[in-house]
Amino acid sequence: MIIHSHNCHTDCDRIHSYSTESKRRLRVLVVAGVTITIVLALISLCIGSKTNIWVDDALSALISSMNKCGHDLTDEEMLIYKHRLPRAIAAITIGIGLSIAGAVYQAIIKNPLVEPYIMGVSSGAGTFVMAAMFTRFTFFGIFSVNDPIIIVMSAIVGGLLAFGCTMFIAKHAGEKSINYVLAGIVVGLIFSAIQSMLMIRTSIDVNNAFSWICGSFAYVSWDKMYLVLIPVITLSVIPLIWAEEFNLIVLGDDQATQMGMNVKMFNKMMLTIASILTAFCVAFCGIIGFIGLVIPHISRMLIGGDHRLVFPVSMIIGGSLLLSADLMSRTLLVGCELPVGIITTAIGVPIFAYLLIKRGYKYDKRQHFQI
Amino acid sequence: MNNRWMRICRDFSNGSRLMKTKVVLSTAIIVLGAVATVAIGGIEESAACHHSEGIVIDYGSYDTVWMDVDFAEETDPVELLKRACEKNNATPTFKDGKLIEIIRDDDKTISNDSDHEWGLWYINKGGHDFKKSENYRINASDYNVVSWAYTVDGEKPTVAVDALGTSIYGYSPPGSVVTLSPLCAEIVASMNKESIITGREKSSDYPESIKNVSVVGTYTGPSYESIMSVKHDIVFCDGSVQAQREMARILRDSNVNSVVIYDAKTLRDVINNIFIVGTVTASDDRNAVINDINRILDDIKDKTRATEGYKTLVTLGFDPSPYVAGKYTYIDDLLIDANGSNAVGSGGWLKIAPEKLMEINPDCIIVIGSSGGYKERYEEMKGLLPLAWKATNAFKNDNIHLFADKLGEKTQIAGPRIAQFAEILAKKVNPYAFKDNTPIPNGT
Repeated sequence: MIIHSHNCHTDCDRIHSYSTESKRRLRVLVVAGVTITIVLALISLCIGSKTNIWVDDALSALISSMNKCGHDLTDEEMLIYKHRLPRAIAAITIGIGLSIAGAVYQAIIKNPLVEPYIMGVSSGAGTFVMAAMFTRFTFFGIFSVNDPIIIVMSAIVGGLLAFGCTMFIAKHAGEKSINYVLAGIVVGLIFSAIQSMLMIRTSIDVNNAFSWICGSFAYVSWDKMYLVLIPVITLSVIPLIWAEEFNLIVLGDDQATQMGMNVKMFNKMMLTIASILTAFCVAFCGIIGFIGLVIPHISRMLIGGDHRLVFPVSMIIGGSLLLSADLMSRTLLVGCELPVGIITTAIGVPIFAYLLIKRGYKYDKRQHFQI
Repeated sequence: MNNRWMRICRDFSNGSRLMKTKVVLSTAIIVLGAVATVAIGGIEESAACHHSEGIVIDYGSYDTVWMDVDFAEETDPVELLKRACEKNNATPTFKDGKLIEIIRDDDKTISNDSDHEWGLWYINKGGHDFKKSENYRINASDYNVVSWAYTVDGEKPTVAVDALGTSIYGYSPPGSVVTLSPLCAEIVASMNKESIITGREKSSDYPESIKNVSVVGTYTGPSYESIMSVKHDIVFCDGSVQAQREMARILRDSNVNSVVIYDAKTLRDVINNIFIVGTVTASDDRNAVINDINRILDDIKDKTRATEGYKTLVTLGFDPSPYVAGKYTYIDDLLIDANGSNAVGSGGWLKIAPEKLMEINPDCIIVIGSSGGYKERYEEMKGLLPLAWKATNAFKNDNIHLFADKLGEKTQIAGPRIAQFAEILAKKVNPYAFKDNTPIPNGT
């Protein structure tokens, strides 16, 4: 008992205190990350598939279009205000949302392999959105066809259903960490099969489905922005508030319970929040894999396992990575758009591989979530 | 250290002040987020879009006249009709308060008869479907479109809104258009307007002259920036592609006139799309193109009336489980026009199993192949056909035909060239109906 108490003592001490090194790293990463994001956002405003604008012109066009409240805009102002700016904001927001969702899943399930896609949540949300789009579902005529609210609600229902199925299977399979991965894969496969069935039944829409499955920010506009910006940022802030409890959770459920936490309730709430967060992201821009899996890993490799540091760093890296992916998706092929999901994988895999090789020896299973 | 440990334990203990604060803070953030989302959603501006004020006179058979009217001056549909007739040198006649006849400037009289009737129709704002007004006392400004239409019992007036429910009338004749699909480009070209196409979708290559036009994206991925970088009085989008519907909304939000044609499922959709593009581009050739197609189709019907055509299956490629055209497709309409029958009873395009193929046992199979190389490999492919195909009457009677390359294109792009496809299809489906039937080699 004394030994146990001592262990708790040491762990909790770690939970509650940032090391000086961590503080310094966090400061550096936040400053560097925010700077890089701002620079990328500026580049996003200036560079396009056909039209490039100088920074000063882009900024003055942005300011003047804001002064005009988006009305009576010139072509240049239109391009900046109506297209490039909302795209950049959406990319940063979705990057933040998917990274936080991934970090939450990995911490609660204590498995470095889980993420929204692996858990089947993205597939579930995607399948329901696809079904709503193909069947032109209007909820008994209350909404119009493909109304953003219908799309978001379908994504949330689908995402939560898939999440529920994964949790149900994992629970009855013994609740081991690997069971969540296997259950998620199975559920993801079921929903992928349903997606294929939908595509076969509505063969004419295969092209539509493909472009949506790969994810894109090409159709972002201000009128839909409120449906992603507020919910995603709101839900992403919640895990930040509970970062200390996340640290406790990764030490083990028993220890967390001894510290007075209602572990089951906490896990349920946080996983539900992560699933809804994923659903909002999927509803808005389609299925973008990789971000939720890799960004938390990259963050932990850079800053360690303390969730008070992992969450903010994941937000910054996730936002800037998806912003740069979107920039590439609209500039690599002149006159055409590439699916952003392909770019995220193309950018992320080499970064991840480099970090894994460079720092992987410090990053074995035992140390994975070490604070 | 001991004090610190006590603090940690206190923090994590049930009902601790910190924990409660976190719960309250989290709940408050979620509630605030939800309220803000709903509130902003409520005041969200709808995308600016083309708005027309005026009235339609619809003489039937896609013969319509539009008159711009400032609704600040007049909104009574009867007065609007009188004005429109006066402007077009036509004379309306009312009897017992009902419109019974209009004499046009070409002295043609369009009168009510046992089958046809003049009526006042309207489309609600944001809607697609015409509804007939019970009386003439409506306010035209309350509706998306108001039309005086001469219709057959049970039929609706000529299409007046695009696939997103926006009026197709009231556009200024465009000096430049952008087409986001091969179908849009083909219809614009059929109106002799290919010279005003300033941007095209990547795979659009018909007619040849548009190959030099700037590419503004792919079929499923139109690029906003590329569209904005070329001259664009009007952008034609294809309603069968969700990405293009989305693009139309975004373009309208940027005050770019965008027209979304319908997903051409049936023959009527095909004609409607031609009518929409012709109307929006103010083309003098609109009615000539539609009449040509209708004349060819009527001719096919006349020729094939006396002889029954084959039970036909139309497939995409030689797959063992091919995609086939079912009911409620333009292919089905063309088979019926040729007095043939569709071997498939279900609706839309669908994938059928080999067993189903054997069960329906078509007498004739038309294989559509769009990519190159099909034609050269036709005989080889026929030899390699799956067993289910070989079990059909079509195979046994050597009645499998390949529509590849240019002909395959005509088949798959449901545009003005559909009349040529209909003729060739009819000759395959009902060969004995055509006295001058010159054999059409496979793969042409």
